[in-house]
This record gives sequence, structure tokens and C-alpha cells, in this order.
Amino acid sequence: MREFTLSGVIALAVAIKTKPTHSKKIPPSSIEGNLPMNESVASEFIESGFFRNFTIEGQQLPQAKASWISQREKKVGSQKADKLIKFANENNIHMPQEQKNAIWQNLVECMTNTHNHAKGKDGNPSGDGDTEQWVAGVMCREGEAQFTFIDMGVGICKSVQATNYMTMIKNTISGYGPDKLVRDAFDGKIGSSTGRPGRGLGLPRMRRDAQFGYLQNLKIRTGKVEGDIAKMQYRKVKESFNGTIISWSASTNEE
Amino acid sequence: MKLKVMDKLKSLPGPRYKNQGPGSGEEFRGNVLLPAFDDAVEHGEKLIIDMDGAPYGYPTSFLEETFGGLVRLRDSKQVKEHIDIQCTDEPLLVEEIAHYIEFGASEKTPPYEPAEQNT
Repeated sequence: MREFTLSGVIALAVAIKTKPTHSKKIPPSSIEGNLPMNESVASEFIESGFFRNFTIEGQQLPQAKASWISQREKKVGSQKADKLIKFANENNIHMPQEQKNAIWQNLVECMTNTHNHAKGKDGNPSGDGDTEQWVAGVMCREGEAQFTFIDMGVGICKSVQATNYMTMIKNTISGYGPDKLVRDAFDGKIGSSTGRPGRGLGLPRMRRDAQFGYLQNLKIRTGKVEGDIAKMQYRKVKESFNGTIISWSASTNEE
Repeated sequence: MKLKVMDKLKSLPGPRYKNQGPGSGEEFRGNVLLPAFDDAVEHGEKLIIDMDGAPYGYPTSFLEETFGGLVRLRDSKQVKEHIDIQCTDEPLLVEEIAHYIEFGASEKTPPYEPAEQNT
């Protein structure tokens, strides 16, 4: 199986967010500049077909090996999650029904989390306030689909962090950092910041589905944390990312 | 009394709350489940809830808000007595819903962890 790197995931996220519009009426644009220095990142851009609507002088770019689509919205769009799975299927990624179910259910949960986090307070059904947009995409190539979900809200760390002042001090003294916070959120040890019953169940479900192999190579980047969710290994990173990127792959079932 | 969930939902099952998008657990519970449950209790009958027919199953938040939410609005003993969940598409779903009913009124619902995945 192809190993997706976090830098590759971020490249895909950027590609999805800034996808050039294709129009037959508008001639291909001409751009100047270099490809990203990191080879794997450059490869993600080229192979995704990101540049297919551009001409690049003096450089022969390889043909795009991948096909991808993205969906974006502020509300939870269960039909849009369905479109992503159907797109993978149309591109010859044949998954067992249990895996399709897990992918669809987790996409919907991710969308729900974006909506909750953006509210930042209690996610009250009658509450007002701006909601952040989510973007989800799937890239298919060589018998594998890579799903990426981008939550452009406050991110997991801020949405589940302690709001009690004494707890915050205690956490600081004991060295309870954002990496441990994210681990505990996926372990189901903490609910959401709302403190309401029945909450905080979506992330443990995602971890469970990864450990059962339905969401393969499930990776996360949120705030100053990146991690491998199935292995429950998280680490702090220097650069902070506002929001959350979650990515996983699914391969054709050969059975 | 029988209630087929997918016959009542106008779209795919959706998020937890109504304001989050179509097909929410909150909307289904308020408009469909609660009146049907109250009717079953009033007539001393059992409400059979048929969960089959969902193309991709049900998201966790939808299930928790629907069934955990029911327990937060009605007596949990009465809920256990008067509803019977059925699902042949995904038999483990019955166990998962029972978990949300069990912990719906608790301060913290532990994640549902099946002994083995339904494969």
C-alpha cells in the first residue's frame, strides 16, 4: 500500500482548497515559479492533476495519474459524503459495504464536529452564530483512494480543552500537552467542551474504525499536534494549524 | 406498533441537531419517535423500530441524539420496556443503540466498543 505522508496530505488539502476552475471559455493560464522543494509534495500536486489547466513553460509535466473531486459546505451534507464514496467506486476503488459505511459515517461525524466546533460554546441547536466551512475530497489512483477532510474551524484542541481555570493550571504543571489532549479525545476519555451528555463519541468511533482497518493509514493534523490515530501515537509539532486535517486511505478489495 | 426509520426520514440519516443539516437525530426524535413512543406507552404496547434500509447505516451522533435523547426526555425504564430495536442489515446496531439508551441519561456516555466488528 502506498504510504501517504502528512506533507502529502497537506499538499492535497491545499490542492482541494485552491483547485483551479476549469472553463472551456477561458484559455489555460500561464504561471511562473517553482514546484515545491519537497519532492513528495511536488509529486502530489502534479499527480493529482492540479496543474492540468495550466501550461508551464519549458517543463514537461507528467500526466495526472489521479482523479479527484471535492465537496464543501457549512452544514452537514450526508449526500455530499455519499458523492465522494460513489466517486471512489466509479474510479474502480471497490470497497466492502462495511468499509463504505464506516467512511460515510465518519465523514458525516467530521462535518458535525466542524459545525459544533465553529459554534465554540455549546453547539446549542437553537443557538446562532457563524459556522465554519468544511472541505472534503477524495483522490483516486492506482487502486487506492485517499480521503481528506479539512475542518476550517477552531480545531480539536481548542474545542475540547479545559475551560476551567484551575484545570488549565493543573494541566500546565503536569505537562498535559495538546498531544495528550488529542490522544484522550480519540480514546473517549474526554467529552466535548459542551459538557452535555452523549457527546464526544465521534472521535473514539473514528479510532475504532481505523483499528478495524476500515480507515487505513488514518492521520491527523490539528493545532500543534500530528498523529497516527490507529496506533494512537501523537506528537507536538512546532507550527500550528488552525483547524483540523484528517486523512485516510481505502484500497480496492481484492477478495 | 411498528416504525420503519428509513420510511420516515426524507434524506439519508444526518447530524445530531436540526440546525446542522437535514435528516438530524433531533428532528427524527421530535417529529417521529417521541409521538410514536408516547402512543405505544399510552396503549401499553411495544414499539418495534426497524432500522433496516439505510444505505450506509447511521452516524454515531444521529443515533445518540435519537435514542440517548429519548432517555433524556422520558423515563429510561419505560423506554427499555416499550421499544424493541430490530436491524438485520447490521445486527450490532441493536447493541449500539442499547448502549446509548443505557447511558443516555448519564453525565458521560462511554464510547460504544463492540467485542468484535460486524464483518
